[in-house]
Formats: sequence, C-alpha cells, structure tokens
Amino acid sequence: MDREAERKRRKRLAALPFSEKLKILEKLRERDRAIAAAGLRKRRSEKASLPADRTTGLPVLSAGSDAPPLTSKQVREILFKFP
Amino acid sequence: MKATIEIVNRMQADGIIGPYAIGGAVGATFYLEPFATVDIDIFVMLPTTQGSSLLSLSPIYDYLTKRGCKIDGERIVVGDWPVQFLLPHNPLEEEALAEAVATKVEGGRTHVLKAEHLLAIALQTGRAKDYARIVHFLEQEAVDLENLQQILGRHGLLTKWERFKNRQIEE
Repeated sequence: MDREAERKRRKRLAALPFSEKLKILEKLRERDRAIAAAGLRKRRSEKASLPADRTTGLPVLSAGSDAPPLTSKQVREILFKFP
Repeated sequence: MKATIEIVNRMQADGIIGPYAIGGAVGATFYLEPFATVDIDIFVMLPTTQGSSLLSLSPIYDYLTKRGCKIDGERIVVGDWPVQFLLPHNPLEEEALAEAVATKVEGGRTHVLKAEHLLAIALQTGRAKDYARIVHFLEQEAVDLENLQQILGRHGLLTKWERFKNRQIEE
C-alpha cells in the first residue's frame, strides 16, 4: 500500500464514530491477547540495571533475572585479558 | 468498554470521583484511527475532603474492589478493561480535565480530553510512543494548531515543541 493510500485509509478510520472505533480497538486487543496466549510474541528481555548492594550499599550490575548464566569458562576468558 | 464506562459513571454518580476524562491511546482514538492499547487512562478529580489536602486513589480502589474489580499492578480491571486512574498532577493536566469534551459511547455519556491537550500531555511526557502519537495527530490534521500553540505557551512547552518539530524535520 502506498503512502497516500495508507493516509486515506487512516483518515477513513479516524472519521468513524467513537463507538465504532472502540469496537475496533477491542478487536485489536483481543487479537493481541490471542497472539500473546499462543506464545507467538517474543518475550521482552529484562533490562540490565545498576542497583545498590544491600550489604555494602555499593552499585552492582544486575543483568536481569532472565539473563543467561555466566559460566566459569566465560569468567576465565574475560579475566584472561584483564591487565 | 461500554461496561467499563458504565461502572466509572456509577462511581461518579455515587460521589467517589468528581469529573473524569479519558486520555492516552483510547482518548486519542476519539480523534484518530484506533490504536492497539492494553489499558484505559482515566484522569479523575476527587471530591475534596474537608480538612484534608492529601489526595489518594484509595477511595476508587476500595469502591471498585468491593464490586469485584481486581487490581492488576498499577491498574484495576473495570468491566473487561484494565484502567489506570490518574490524578492531574500539574496545571496542564488540570486544565485538560476541566476542558474535556463530552461524548457518548453506545448510549452512555463520557468525557475525552481535547486533542490539543492530548498532544501537549504527550509532548510533556515525552516517551517514544508519545512522540509517535503526536506525529499521528499532525499527519491527520486532528489538532487546531493555534489553540495548541496557546496551550503550549501557557504551560512552558514551546521550547520543547520547537525541538520536537526540528527533530521531525531532520528525520
């Protein structure tokens, strides 16, 4: 669909009565829920954050609870190049 | 949605809330094409309690939970929609609520924020989805630019507006 046709389609939808638009909105929501229930949507990864350590109060890096575990092998590789 | 609005209207008639108006994506849908959204943002005024200047949403939550509504994080499921009740927390939002537009949804009355206020609040909030909504309003010529300019001026948002416009032109 070209840009002009898309603009006209959106304008046409915008001109519908509010009640009609809310029915469309409900259908969009039902579709989103069906997609989510079927597991078709990618789960968003948790963000890394910099919380304070409870004991020391110093900042610590949290990779988020769904981050893959860091293995001893990976730590060795990281530390290998550490000055 | 009809059931949600009926319950909110009943809550208003019972004196739990004062004037209210729909904002956010559902409010924008009044002027634009429908947007997929997970909840309804409702700005509410609370009746002032004599001798108390502390405003709390707990009367709303108490009223609704007694009628079977379930709390879902920062929202409460009213009818079949999660609703986020918002108290106006600055002069722009207070003005937006005071000047909301009356409309009807399947026979029931309700109020929706004016397009210019929705845009100004989106600009003030400033998340990516808010900026995307502003672009929709402008593309569909759904705002009165003169009225918008006055609102932005009254609430100190003209500089932010100029920055937003310049960035859009660059892109």
